[in-house]
Amino acid sequence: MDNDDFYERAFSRNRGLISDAEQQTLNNTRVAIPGMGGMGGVHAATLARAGIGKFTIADFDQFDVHNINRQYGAMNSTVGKEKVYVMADIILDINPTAEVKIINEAIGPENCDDFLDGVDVMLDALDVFIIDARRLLYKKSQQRGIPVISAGPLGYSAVVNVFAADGMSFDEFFDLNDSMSDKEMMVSFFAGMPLGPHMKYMETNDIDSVTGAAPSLGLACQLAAGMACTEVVKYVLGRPKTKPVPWFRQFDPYARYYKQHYRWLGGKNPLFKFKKRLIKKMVPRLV
Amino acid sequence: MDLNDFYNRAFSRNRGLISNDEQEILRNVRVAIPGMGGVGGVHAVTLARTGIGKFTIADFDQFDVHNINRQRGAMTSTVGKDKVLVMQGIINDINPSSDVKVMKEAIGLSNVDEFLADVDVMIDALDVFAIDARRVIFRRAHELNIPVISVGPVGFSAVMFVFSPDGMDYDTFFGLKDGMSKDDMVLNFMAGIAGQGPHLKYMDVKGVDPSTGAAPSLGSACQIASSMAATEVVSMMLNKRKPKYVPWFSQFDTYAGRYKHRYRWWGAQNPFHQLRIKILKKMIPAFADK
Repeated sequence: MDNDDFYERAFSRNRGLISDAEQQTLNNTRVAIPGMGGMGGVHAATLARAGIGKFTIADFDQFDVHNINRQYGAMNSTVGKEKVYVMADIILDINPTAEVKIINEAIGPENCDDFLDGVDVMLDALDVFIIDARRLLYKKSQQRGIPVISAGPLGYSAVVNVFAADGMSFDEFFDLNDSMSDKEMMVSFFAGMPLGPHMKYMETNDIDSVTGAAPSLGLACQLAAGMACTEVVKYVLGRPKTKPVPWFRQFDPYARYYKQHYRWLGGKNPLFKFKKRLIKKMVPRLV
Repeated sequence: MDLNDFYNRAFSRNRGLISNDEQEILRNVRVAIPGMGGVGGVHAVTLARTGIGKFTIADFDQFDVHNINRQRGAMTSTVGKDKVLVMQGIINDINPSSDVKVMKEAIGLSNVDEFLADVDVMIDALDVFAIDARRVIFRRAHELNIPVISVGPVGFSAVMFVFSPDGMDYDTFFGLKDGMSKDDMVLNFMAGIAGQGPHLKYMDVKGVDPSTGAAPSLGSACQIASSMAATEVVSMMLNKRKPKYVPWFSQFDTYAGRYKHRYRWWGAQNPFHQLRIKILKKMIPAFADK
């Protein structure tokens, strides 16, 4: 079986939802995913199974036992191994015709241009406590006209934000600027997450930005990846547009809740500073 | 590191949502999953990563290339291998202390009791066209007081039904009776799952064919389905919130941005059921003359 035959057969069951011509478009799409942890690994596998043909992935870390509850590549047999290489092998085992560019280091000012080279869409999968690299990547993406989709677990729920290349920026949505301290930025970033139904059942006292500990469930990561992958397919194929930020959405299967919200003025919303105060109370060890 | 230490560390990040005591309960729960294909494989892995400790899995089939777009165990390296054995390997690699009972055969009257032995909850992951096996398993689960969660991909969405041991049963909800033709049963079943909803606007179902087993299905939707199923398993086993059993059902469509959670009066006796059948007959040529 040659490469074309394989690709055609492997993704044949997408027909009825994704046409032959659309499948070819997905095959020629490059998605960048910074982070191969909780969200990044599931994103990569989900997109590979949708037939996305080109990936740029980055991570500096190795799998550890406590990743197993949620990270796609974390297994007993991969503990200690580099996350990017494990995930690259999985992508290629799903689709040997895929092209995977691997950056086995943290993304920063020196390598972010290389990371975003030739990229059609980026999926934010950085650790929740990383702010500097995140701000940099969003800014560079917007300059290059690359949309960014961020999806993450919150309790049993998933939250999805779409940052259009010509829409509100990451800094505006989360009210961040260069003069803020790390602590202020972290509080602001957390305050930008929805005050949804997860607040009723989630224990946030132990969230600790120093140890990097935060409760997160594999099932919520799967949900977030399913939603994010759908956004990638919609965007790349020019399907009906999902409203970008300051619109955002949350689905919580535990609370049986789905809502699409509009945050008027983004981080400049008058209620935002109250949310910051609330976050400081709820997550005492944020910094 | 001994197996208990491994288990505690591996699932430590569930804290804040699942307590230590609750985690111990999940470790002793046995989930049965008939079918290790599109949703079954994802269900198994999602539950294994939640820390469910015991599984009974069944499938007679081997992985093929056209499974790759959605099935968790389907890789270039597993084509031709038995689905159950591949998935058993993955579950054990996630949690080496898990107990996986494997049945490499189709489930029917002769082995359904063995399949459901000591099971706390079942997640239906049979092929959409496997109606006979589904009826046998659902009926026996109902008799044995085992709740059944049935959730699958429909377009970009997932549709879920939860069956209580003392609530409406599978046959009543989907309008199935002994003596019906297989095509008729499939049609009733599909009308119950997919005869209405936002997916009808964007999904081309002309290619659906029960004789070849062909039906469009996406990996992303299988993942959404599994997250919903795992949420039900966790909340049911830990008595966290009350399940809404059929005739309640829910559909989450991330493509359309729609979620609904509705009560279908009288199940298949609902007057709209016949209308849904008519819609499907019009949309799917393979059913047109049935």
